[in-house]
Amino acid sequence: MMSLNKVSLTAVVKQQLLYKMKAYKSVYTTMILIQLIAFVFSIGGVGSSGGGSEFIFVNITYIGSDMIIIFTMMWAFIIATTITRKENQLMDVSFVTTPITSHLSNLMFIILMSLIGAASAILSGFLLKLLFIIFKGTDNIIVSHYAIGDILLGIGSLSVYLLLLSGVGYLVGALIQRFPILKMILPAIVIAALFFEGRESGVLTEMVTFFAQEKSLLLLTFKVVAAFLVCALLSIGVSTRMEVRR
Amino acid sequence: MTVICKNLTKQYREMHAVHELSVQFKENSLTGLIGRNGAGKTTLLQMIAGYTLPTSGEVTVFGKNPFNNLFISANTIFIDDQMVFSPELTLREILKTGKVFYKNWDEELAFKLLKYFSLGENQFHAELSKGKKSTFNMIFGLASKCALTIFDEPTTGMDYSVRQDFYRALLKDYINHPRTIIVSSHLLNEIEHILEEIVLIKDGKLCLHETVEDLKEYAVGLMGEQALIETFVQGKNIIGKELDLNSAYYVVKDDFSTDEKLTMERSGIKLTQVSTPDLTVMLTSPNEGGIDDVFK
Repeated sequence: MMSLNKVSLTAVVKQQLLYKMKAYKSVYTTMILIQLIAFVFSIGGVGSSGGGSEFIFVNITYIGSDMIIIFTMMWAFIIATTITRKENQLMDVSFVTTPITSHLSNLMFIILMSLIGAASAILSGFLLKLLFIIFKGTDNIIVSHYAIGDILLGIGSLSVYLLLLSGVGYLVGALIQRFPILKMILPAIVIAALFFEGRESGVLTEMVTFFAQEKSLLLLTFKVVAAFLVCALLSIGVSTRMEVRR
Repeated sequence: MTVICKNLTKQYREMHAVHELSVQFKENSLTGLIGRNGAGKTTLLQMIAGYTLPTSGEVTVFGKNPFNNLFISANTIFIDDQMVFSPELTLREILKTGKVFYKNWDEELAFKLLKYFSLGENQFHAELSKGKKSTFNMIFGLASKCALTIFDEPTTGMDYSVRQDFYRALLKDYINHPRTIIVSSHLLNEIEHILEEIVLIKDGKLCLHETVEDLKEYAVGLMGEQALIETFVQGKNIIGKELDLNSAYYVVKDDFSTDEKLTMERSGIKLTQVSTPDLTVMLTSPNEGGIDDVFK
């Protein structure tokens, strides 16, 4: 008789997380690719304004990682959605799993990805500035100094936003898996909402403001973690009784 | 008992894929689950593996409800040709991952078999042919050494010699490491010699559950004049018959006494043994008559 093995939930979640970090290699490569594209777009500067008078003309070009950050945000949302795909679910089924462990390791994976994505996006902004300095010299540069603390703050707040987006993305993905009809309905709702919100601010605007206007990183983190937990619980909630369908 | 199914029913819309099925799988036994296409083999096995929920009835594995159960998942493996592995991992990496998840994992066996069946360690699962995929999944299933190992039509796409090798590997591994193994197949011919027990299902219902030894004695073939045979088989369970112009062949459940058999032989009826594969085909045939009747 082969022995019956007891396993703990935490051990399996840990094994699954390590496995996913290897099995979802394309998640990193997509991130690098997307940030590279944004990087190339940003080389000439992401914003510029000019003005002058008879004797003086000023043209300000803003060099920064804004574009990279926006692209990374889209990436975070999309990978979180795709990770709930049926194929990925079935990949877990080939090894030891339950829907709960599968969700937990997925969620931990996207938390990790938020951190990596944020660090990479913020740091590539510095690379951008560095390239500018190398090629254009320092003569025309107005720069505020950066301390390590600022960099960490940047990475911290971006990873919090990425976490929020990937949490929402994960919930959207989980809902679509449970109710496939949403694949059609959700985009319609979003587009409709954008139209209405364009005329007068509604719930969507308020929700965005609730997170985007938060000045304190601590409070922001608190809000986002709460929102992430709600998304996580809802995602687990809608799918625990789901059967494995091939 | 490793697996106990009680009045198990699985309904998809109007169709009963499995209907009021009660069956048990003994600890450390090698059982064949035989049935025709659509008999409910996969549906039954998926419920046992905890992939799906029964519509009604009850299934227990190692005394527990297998659905969404981590303990059952750690001690059960379900192998079929639909298994999904990461397209980003090589076969070698998949086997290494198997070792992380399954405590009884036999790494040496896994890599030896990989080599024997000439699968490249650096190949990707998605790029394997159908037969090679099945071969790899089989290796994965054997190496996991799970206390409950389920193979659902494992030989899909394999060529003849690989199938033979697989059954031999399965038998040897089972003898070295006894565990509960269920192998489903639509035909008995090739696996009969390795099985201990046979569960035959038809239209989602249990047809019979016998040891292979008992199944060999289950029925008797009678050959002779139809009118003569009819006199003997009144009230008996006739499993199948083939009629020719002047002779008839009946397969009847063997509950004849020795005297009856002697009388039959004396009156000119030839008694023959029925091969188990033929018997299972007859037992699971959809209704009276066969393909010949379609062309009449």
